[in-house]
Amino acid sequence: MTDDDAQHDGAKQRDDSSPAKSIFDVFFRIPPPLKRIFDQTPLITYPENEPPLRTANIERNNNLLYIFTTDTEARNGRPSFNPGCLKWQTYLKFEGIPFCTVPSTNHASPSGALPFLLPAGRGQDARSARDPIAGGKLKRWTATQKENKEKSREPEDVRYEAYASLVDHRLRRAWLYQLYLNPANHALVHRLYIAPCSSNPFVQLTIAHQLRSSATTEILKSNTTSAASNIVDEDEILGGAREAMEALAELLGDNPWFFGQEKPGIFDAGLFAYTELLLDDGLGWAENRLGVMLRQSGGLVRHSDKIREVHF
Amino acid sequence: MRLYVLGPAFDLPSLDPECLAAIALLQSLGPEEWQLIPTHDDTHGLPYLTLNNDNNTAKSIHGFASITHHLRPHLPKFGDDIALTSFLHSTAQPLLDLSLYLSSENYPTTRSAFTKILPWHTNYLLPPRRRAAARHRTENLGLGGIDVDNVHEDLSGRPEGFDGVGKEQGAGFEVEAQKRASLLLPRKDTLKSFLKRPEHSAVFKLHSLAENFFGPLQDILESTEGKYLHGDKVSAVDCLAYGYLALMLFPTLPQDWLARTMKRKYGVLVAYVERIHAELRLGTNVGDVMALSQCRDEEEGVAAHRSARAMTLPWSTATTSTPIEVLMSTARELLSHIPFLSPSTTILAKGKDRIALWQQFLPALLTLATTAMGTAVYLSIRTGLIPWPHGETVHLFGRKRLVDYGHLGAALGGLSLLGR
Repeated sequence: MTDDDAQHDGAKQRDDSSPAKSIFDVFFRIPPPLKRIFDQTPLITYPENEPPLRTANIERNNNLLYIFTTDTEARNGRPSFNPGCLKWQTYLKFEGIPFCTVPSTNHASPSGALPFLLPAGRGQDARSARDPIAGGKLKRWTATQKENKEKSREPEDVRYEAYASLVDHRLRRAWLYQLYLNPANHALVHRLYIAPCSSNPFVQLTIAHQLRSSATTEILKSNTTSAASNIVDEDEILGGAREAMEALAELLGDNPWFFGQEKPGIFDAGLFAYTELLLDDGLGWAENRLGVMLRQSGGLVRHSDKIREVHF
Repeated sequence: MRLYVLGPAFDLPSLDPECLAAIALLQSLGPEEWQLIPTHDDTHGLPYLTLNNDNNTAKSIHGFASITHHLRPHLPKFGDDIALTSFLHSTAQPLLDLSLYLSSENYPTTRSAFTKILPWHTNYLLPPRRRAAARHRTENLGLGGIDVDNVHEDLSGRPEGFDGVGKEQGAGFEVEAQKRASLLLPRKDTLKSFLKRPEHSAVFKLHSLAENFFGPLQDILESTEGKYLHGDKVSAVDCLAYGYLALMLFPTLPQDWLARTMKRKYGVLVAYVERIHAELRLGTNVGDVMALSQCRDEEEGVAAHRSARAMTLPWSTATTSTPIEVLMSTARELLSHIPFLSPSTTILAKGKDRIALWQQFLPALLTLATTAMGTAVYLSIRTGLIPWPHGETVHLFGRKRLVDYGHLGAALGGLSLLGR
């Protein structure tokens, strides 16, 4: 019996016991003929819908990492084509946390940007506890996941922050420039980011324009204050990236990992996110000057190859 | 050699970190002949260095990195220097932005520093532009809370309870009443709610930002053996670090959290900055530099003035602009605020294929096309070129009214009239 019926019965009992009817009962009483019909039709609660078929191959008790990727690549666990996503994908692999990748877009993310991770839920009751974890908080979450094992230590080198800014600042600028602002690579952007969103040419045109203008603002924002306010200088960006690569190669030297660590850490993941994609010929670069620069510094190529062999 | 920089402020030779770094670099290079010229024209970026070649053609070099490269071309580049330069640019710049431009309590001080060095018309253009750029750079930090007047409403410096003319008393009374009432109401501040208030959470964020910058820099400085980052001589990276750190340490601001943090916890950095400042003799009196422009005689007067005031830097008279330049710069600034008409970003690339022009100006083109079409339709209708589609008057033949059916029809017609 549903709640409505129970309430109605309760109202009826009250009618019998107390002669004074409230104004509610007078106006909102269901006419007897209608009530007879209602009594004969019980309310049906349908069972929950099955999840869509395409999610069936994903084990529900696994961590799900939502990144920019394609269906087939997600099934094979291939690297994402977005450096921001690939960094965390690689880091989770370094830390030995099992996860499945799911293709997604920025619109799906609670924070507005990929990647994010849905931790594995244990049983139906844990659903409310399965809050998604945004990219920036993944590191802390990873640390909580492995309480019994030894914590991964941060490298103690004093230059860590300085070199991290080379990757996050100079390489990122050059990446944005090469991918979004170099017209030769427009076909690649179209295949990776625009075509999956819409097939309408007008919508595609708008998305292309938005991507290009947001890349331009990002680059202008990271310009030094001494630069003129609305000029994107290719020489300056690529020269900066070349310097950065040389500095990073010098830092790596003959060590397997950065800062003389025994196992790769988040710095290696952050760099690999760019080097892997720049060295990947299968991605379909039309013009890849950064890749050419990168191949000249052997240490970084070796670093990238090693991670790819072991983890992907 | 002439070095053009943004003018002096806060007893420092320049208000801009990179200009400051360039001055320190030239000063550290020693007795070469050079002139320092305060300017306000930053269309091509500041600082810049102009060189007179043999055949009297001026060549200009823009930006601190290029100036360093030009002055010390054969210097080996260390990886650490490159990393540190990038670190300074990416981490110190937001801190300066927050401290000098964004904080609504500090900005009036910065602005008055600008007022002393800029010609009157630039005062309305340059500081707001730099502030907008600073806001743009720091908006992803989520610290809009300290920027109280970003809705064009500066409430600082007004008397308490003042809220527009005429409403003064009423508003004051309301505020008073609310204060009394809130005293009566039970109010429990848990520690968590206290910390979650925007002004307090902003303080935490600012401190963590500052520590993320000062901490690594101090560690690096302590790990080197000498007085500076490379032994005992001031290098280009030292100059850049000085540029940023001096602007954090020396200005006296109402909200001096940055300088306070530095003095309290990072004594090594304070000593480092003060050492460079003293060694390169970079102290500057703003008034003296500005007084140079009163010198009539070009060469002699300036030199005499310089030695009279014991100036340690080769200051020269500030650049002046002609009325046409004033008009041009004002017009350009106004234009840049109009959507769709503002000049778009130029991309300097060597590649053959550039982005097609129509793609670059897509929004402007779409707006233009829509406007043109609307105007054309309106004009052609207005002039009668296209008639408004109102159609002809309708005539129906053979339709019978009730009256046409004789007596009965007339009676029915009367009835229907009655019923109306």
